[in-house]
Amino acid sequence: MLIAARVLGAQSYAYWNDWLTCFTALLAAHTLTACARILLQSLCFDHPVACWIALFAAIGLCWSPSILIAYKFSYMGVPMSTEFSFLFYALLVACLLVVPAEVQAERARWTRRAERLQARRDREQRMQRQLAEARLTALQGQIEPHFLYNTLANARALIRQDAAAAERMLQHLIHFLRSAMPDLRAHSTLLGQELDRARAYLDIIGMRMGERLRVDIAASDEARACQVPPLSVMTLVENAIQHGIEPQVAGGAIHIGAVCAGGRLRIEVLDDGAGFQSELGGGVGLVNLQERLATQYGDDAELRVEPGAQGGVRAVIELPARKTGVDADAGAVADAA
Amino acid sequence: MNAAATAILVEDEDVLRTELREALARFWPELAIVGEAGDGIQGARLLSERSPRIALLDVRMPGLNGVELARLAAGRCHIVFLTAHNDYAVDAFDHGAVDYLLKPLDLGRLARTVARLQAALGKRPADLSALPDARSGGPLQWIQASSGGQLRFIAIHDVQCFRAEAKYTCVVTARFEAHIRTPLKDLLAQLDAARFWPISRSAIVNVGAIDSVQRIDDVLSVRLAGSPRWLPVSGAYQSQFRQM
Repeated sequence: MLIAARVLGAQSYAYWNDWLTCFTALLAAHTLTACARILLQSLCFDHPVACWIALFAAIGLCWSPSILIAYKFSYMGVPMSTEFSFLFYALLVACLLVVPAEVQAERARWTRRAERLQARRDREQRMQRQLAEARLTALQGQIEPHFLYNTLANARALIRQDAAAAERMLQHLIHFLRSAMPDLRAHSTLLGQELDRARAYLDIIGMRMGERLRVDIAASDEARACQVPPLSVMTLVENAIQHGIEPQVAGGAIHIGAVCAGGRLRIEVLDDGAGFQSELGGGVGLVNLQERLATQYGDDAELRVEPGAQGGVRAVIELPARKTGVDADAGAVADAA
Repeated sequence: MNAAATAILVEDEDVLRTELREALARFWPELAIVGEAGDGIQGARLLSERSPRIALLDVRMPGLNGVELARLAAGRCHIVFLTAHNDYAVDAFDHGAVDYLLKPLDLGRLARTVARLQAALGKRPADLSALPDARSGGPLQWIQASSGGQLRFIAIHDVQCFRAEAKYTCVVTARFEAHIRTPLKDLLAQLDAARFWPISRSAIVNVGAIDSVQRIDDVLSVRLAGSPRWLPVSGAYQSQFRQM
């Protein structure tokens, strides 16, 4: 420490003045370059070639005057103090160092930008794909072949055995298809329409299962006027029938309830069927519904599927209670037509 | 051996059973229907009490389904499946089912089935006890797991990793951890192999949730997004990371 202090102290005032001038000039040139670059590049609207030109313009603008001035002083034979020749060489060397460093930094900036853009594009694509998949599955769900074929098989067999029942069944099927068709592309539908569709579906299943199925649907008018994603209730009802009630020899009961309170809509589908046979499931219906809710409502909507109090399964959808909108009007018009 | 053709019909929908019975009476009047049942359990009783030579079984039924019934029959009678969906038919054929009938019933098709059954009667019935279950869907899609005394419904793509613990399997998502009873080994068999990779005997990770992979002194480990922990990849499982 002592030795270092003595060495430093031994230098003349002019020596330190040289260093200080040099340092200040370099700092000023560098800061000015950065400012000029940001200013010029902001005018380039992210065009890559223009940005590169702006970078070099900034370097040229801010470094050349100081180099020129320094050079001129030394050239004009003005009594050359050490500080000027020192400044000149320092500026020259610094400029030569700055150019590759800036080029490197600029390249890194472009890579980062590209990565950010790619990530955003990926995210958007994923969202789009999810939406498309959800729609496709909704479409497939709407015309579940097993259900359709079984219903047609019944209707045809009934024509011989009980013509009146065959007619009733076909009527239910027409009602079901009509209520399912209009909003294949809609983002939302009214809960009332969803419940009508579920009713038509359960009427058909009821005819096929006979005494084994008991149905109870309870929803206030206020709740029926709320918007829900298409097929949200149907997904839960189909699950309750296929996995809960159909596998039971004795059949079972299904309850659908909907209440509107405190700006929230709460839909409940309850069955007393077989319940969860396993912790693991292969059906895409529920996962899809959860995704559709997340896409449309974010954290504002929730789907819970849990064991019911008296066996079976209890599925609950909670979402913001939104009354008629553009989509709903379109749905109503389509229904009337 | 009794040469008379005897059959049972097991189908949960009365209307369809009646239709099939009437159609069979038209195409094969000599066939004696020795029993009918509306669910799998009744069907199983008929199988053992009446010892029919032919069983026409609906695939989807309450109680026991048609596949389980066919396994029970295990080579004692010829099996024909009834189904609204033909995606199961290939499996059934591979295992020796005589035929399958699609609903709604096609009478021309039924005539062919009758001909096949008549030809098969002279032979030994195939043993269908190895018939696999009619699959309800593709790979695993969701998990029902308990977390803090609450049951949660987790979509499979939200799972970051599965970890074996003393008695349970821990399901880790970005927001919480939950537990299931299914062992890791059974889980692995049902997961989409392109998306879920085992990294050791006690952990399976979702490839999409991997944030970074590092190798220090030949020890490979992975870190999941949003987690500070490095999970070691044991030797046998390292090869799948080689391309990363």
